Amino acid sequence: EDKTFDEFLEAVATLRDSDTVRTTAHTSNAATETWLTQ
Amino acid sequence: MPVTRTAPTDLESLYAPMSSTGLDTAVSVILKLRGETCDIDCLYCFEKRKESPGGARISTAQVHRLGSIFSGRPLSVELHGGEPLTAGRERIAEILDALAAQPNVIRVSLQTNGLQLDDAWLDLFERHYPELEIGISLDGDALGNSWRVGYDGRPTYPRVVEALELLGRRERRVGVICAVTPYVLGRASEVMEHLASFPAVTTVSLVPCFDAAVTRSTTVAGSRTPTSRALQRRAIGPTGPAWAVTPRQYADFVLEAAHHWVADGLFRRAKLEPVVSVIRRLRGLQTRSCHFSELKCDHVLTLYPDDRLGSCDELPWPQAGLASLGGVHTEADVASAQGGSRLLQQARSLVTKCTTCDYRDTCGAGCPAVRLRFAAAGDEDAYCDHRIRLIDGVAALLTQPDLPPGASCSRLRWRPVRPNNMHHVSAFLARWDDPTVPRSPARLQVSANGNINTVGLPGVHEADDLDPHHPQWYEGIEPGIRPVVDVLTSGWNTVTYDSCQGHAYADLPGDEPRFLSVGILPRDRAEYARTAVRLCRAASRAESSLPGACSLVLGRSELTCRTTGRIYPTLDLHLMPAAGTTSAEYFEDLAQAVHVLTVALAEAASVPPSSPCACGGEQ
Repeated sequence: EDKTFDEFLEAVATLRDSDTVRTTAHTSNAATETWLTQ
Repeated sequence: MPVTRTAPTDLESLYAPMSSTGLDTAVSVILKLRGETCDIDCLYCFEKRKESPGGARISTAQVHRLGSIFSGRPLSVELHGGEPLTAGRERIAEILDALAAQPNVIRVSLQTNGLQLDDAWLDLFERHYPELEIGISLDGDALGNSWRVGYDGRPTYPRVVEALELLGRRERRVGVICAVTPYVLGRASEVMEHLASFPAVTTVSLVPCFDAAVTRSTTVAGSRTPTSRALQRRAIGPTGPAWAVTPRQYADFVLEAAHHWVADGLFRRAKLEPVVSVIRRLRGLQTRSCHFSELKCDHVLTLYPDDRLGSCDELPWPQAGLASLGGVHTEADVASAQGGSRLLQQARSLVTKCTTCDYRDTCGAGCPAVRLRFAAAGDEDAYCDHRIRLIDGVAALLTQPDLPPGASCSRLRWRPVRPNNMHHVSAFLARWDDPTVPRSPARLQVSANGNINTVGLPGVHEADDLDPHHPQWYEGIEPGIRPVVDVLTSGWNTVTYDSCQGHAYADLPGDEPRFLSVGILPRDRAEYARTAVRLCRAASRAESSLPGACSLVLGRSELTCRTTGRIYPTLDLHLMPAAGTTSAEYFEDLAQAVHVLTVALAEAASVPPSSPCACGGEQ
């Protein structure tokens, strides 16, 4: 469990802002862009 | 709304009017391709409750007109319903071609119940708009999908599963919208495992059925009542519909799902919303979800086949209507209609309350459409409470993942300190525990107001990072906070990275007073958990003895290393003015409050490492 959590935190640490155009997603649209590094 | 001690921000940072953004910001347009027309009859459908005429289809001429009205603005388009695929293959192909031909359309997505999806549809998408993003509505497993039925009352679930399996074979990525109803409550692990088992699913969005205000079934068009509407009537009781959940139930379900998403490693396969949006906001990053950003109802438009152009489809109609598409010629016309909309004025008015909320930078003010419903029912606090619960719960998950959902400390609140950074955190931690490391002389200057920093000025300025082995350690700590720092470093053996005794700045008109605080930097996860429990225990002991003008606030925050960029979780302790007290009263009581706090912290030093929180976890 500790290893899984460490991996999760490492993944969270890679989050960045990189949208060149900001968009807003309406509630009912499950945006399918990848959140994270098969 | 919680008691606030936060300086107000401007409304536009929480709710941006369209006129305040430009070419770098898209407008989201929901195309209701056939209005409310749908090939199934889910009991909770919000679109059919509007009881507007369906049947007609949006034309390519309307799509082109929309593109020309917003010619200077990026557009993100959602094909929506009802069920958009009931518009037929020929019309969908024409619409996709029209969207592909418009240079300002940067993204097109489709939200479908999935029943019609087959190879022919997927081939059509690939021919006419290969980048089309697909969203499927599926409320978890078979039991969770009990509200999703055909007009004959039969479940749609088996056919949606077939569609997801087809999408997997075709290597398409899809997002799933999972409505949170009583049929999934308490079963987050099963629901998450089931949804993540489909190779096609790379996003799961948990959306709440906050429908307690629904009191009657949807009107039937025609003389014969379909079985589904009979089921719907039976499901609506005197206290609302059986599919509704409370904000508290929704927040708890999301946190339970988040726990499994992390612990079971599902994060490797799929994104979970709104959890990822909360994480991004906790980290100060932008998110696309309008519930967490300032791009709210003024950046979301809905177009119906009969030319009605309005705001977000979550808002009540006809009040959300802005104009007829044929009656507007420019973006400025739309912005003008938004400015004159009584409903949007009410939405902005609700968000105004958030400008002084402690959670506003993370929460982003939520969904005005839902808040309007809660406000009408006189229960807006329930909405705000669930947002706070979500934020505190996800913040706890990022630091104490081994705690089961609902067991994290109710006293520890997300209280980001910004800016909060240090030159080299790991070097500082290593130095703290090693008396043999050479230490450079510290630059200590004292301001006329008692601030100790490198420049000797009031306000937030750089201060050298000292440790107890440094010869100038005591000299570098403001005297009013020294007893607290002493207990935390000597009694608890914790690392303090920042401290402030509080400064009234009474002689500096225009300067906001600074209140007492200490920042603790746990060395590892186990020390974080142990320190959190001790802080809760100390707060429990101190609360009844603190003088009236001071209140103790325990915060979770983060410290960023400027050298490596790594983010370290911290636990911060603040003595703040109690609700309704003035700054002068606070500073009059502060010395007594520090004494009470110091005694409580010293007593908590003997709390065994495995002890539970004094609060017994979330209440």
